[in-house]
Amino acid sequence: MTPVPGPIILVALPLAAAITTYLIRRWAFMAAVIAAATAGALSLLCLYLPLDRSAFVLGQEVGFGRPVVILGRDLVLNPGGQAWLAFIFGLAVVFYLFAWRISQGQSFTPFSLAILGLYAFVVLLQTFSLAVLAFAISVTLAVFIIQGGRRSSIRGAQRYLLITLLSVPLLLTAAWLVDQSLLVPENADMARQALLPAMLGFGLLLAVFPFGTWMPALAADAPPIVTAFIFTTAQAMAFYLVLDFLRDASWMLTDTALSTVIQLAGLLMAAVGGLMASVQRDFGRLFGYAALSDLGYLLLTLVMGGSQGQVLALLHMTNRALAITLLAGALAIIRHRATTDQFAGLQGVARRLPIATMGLVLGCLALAGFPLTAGFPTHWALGRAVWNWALPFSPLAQTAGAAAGAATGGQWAGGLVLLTLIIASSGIVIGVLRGLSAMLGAGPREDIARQPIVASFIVLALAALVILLGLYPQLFLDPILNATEILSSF
Amino acid sequence: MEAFSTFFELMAGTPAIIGLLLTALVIFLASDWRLSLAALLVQYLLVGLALARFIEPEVAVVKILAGVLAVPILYLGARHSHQTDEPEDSAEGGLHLLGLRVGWDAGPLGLPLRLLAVLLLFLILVRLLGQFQPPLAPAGFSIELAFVAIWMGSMGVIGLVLGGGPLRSATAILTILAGFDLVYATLERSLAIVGFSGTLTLLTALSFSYLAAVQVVGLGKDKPEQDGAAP
Repeated sequence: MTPVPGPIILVALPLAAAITTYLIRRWAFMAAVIAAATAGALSLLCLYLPLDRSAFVLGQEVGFGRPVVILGRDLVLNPGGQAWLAFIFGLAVVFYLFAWRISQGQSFTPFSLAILGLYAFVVLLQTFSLAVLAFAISVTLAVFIIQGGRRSSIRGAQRYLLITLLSVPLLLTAAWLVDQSLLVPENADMARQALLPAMLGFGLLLAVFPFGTWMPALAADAPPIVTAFIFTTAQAMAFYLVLDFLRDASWMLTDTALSTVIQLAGLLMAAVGGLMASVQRDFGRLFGYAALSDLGYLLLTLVMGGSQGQVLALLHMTNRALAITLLAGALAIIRHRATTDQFAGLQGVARRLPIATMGLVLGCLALAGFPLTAGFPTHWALGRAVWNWALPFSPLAQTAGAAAGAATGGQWAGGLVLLTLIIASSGIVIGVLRGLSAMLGAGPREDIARQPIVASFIVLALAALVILLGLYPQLFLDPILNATEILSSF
Repeated sequence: MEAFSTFFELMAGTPAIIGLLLTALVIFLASDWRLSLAALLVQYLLVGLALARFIEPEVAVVKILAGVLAVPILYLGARHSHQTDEPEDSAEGGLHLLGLRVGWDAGPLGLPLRLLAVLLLFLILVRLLGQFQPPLAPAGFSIELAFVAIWMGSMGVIGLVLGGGPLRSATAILTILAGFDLVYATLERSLAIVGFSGTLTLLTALSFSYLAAVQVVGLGKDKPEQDGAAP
């Protein structure tokens, strides 16, 4: 019997589950179970099935690495894509469990499954241009889940859609220029011309400063779990597209102008996000700005982490996903029970919903890189890297061949960067303390229903994981190192 | 048949290019959604017509079809939400043209500023046109087409910057994508790309149509909360 090709499973299963859950969308439990089971099964398949040979799953032979031709294009799963999909499908399981207990809109389950199917398609496609178009198509579908709460404000969804669509022409142009330079050796200089559209396109896609204004707007408008879905899985896919592009244009990594721009943009994002988080009056926007600030850290780890930059960035992405999921879960409970996330309307909520409040505070602190939380290790490593850069006679400065005078300049710049990072983290902490102070005020709110058991249990489990990763950051290090090794060879 | 072919060839040249310049201009200037959508429809027909000189006619027809289908999708959303998307100042007194106030006190979204923006952009593009060197000109690639594509893209970007509701944004972003397609379709002939970009056009229209509709539904739903009744 011919083995079932892996790409077919990865694309068809989420799409079939999307249709099924759409038909039964009124039965939240059934829809959540089907969605969580589908995402969980796909995550496990990605984690355990080999690509170089067939394996038996429930008595059926599966050739996970077997290529398929659809619409004249080869769909192939490579090891890097396999690790990426395992991460994304795994995260989705937690989102669906939350969506079962706290509704995120009836469209969330079917549309998010369709989006996951498209993400699998993005990973399987071997042509970058098609992958960009498939990702843009997934964003048009994301609009339907962002507005699932049917709020009148469409600012977040509209900005997200526009920013992503604007990146499409730029990325397609960059890909075409790189392709031409590879196909015809005489056009080698065209690769240089790809730098500007690629930089702008990926800047838009990754919400790099100043294109990240959609993040707080979306966090304010969309249901919290939907926000987490976009901030984790969609941004992880955008990051995957960057790696996919760099596979053919690896010289860009060594371009000093590019790394300076990324460094500056990351620093601005971290600073602006942190400062804005400190003055917000609702947890939705605070969530958006904290995530924006943390995204700035992600960019900084990539360029300032030295030889360990990619490991640090992947570790940060994993920890960030965990912190965002915890924060979104806690916020979902609070919005559901208190019907608002405005500080002014949350007086006394902390005593009525202690677990959700704890999750909310812990999630924000993790995004700020507070000690003993999952965000701390990478924030600390980045701080150390900046400190080393700032020291005049540090090994890093010496290997760069910097003269003593230049090193003194670097010391000032490094000190300034470090100070900015501390201010950014402090901004998030101040913002969450302001919110906590409001939630602790007045007596317990008797008009608010007690905390939901299952959702609170998930929040507790996530909170425990966030603290555990803060205490033992090496816990995920082995899989991250493996993933980095795979990605650098892919 | 020969007469039709001659007429088609004639129309696909300069008239199509002038038509594309004008439709992008109308989409940018008009605030009446009916006029914008009509211009968008004509724009898609002209994009297909202009492309038919460079690519296979079947592919050009697919592009026309995707665009022509996108317009009714937007129309449905616009019909549903026309009360919110109606220009706010249309209810006020004063002279109006294309649904926009004409007087100098018309504000940042009024016709005078838009006309000024168009004039500046036109001068910049004409200045740049003489220096423009395409990185790799394939057979049949015309500089006029590149100029129109840049014009459409610029009109779309300024339209987005000046802002507006979902329908204004939809017509602006679709103009940008159509302008880009005008050049990209001549460079990248893959049928898969044609299919994917057609799907993207349709889904973009659907998303904006949904946003326009949901804005109205959400406004109705949010009202009790604003009155303080919901909590």
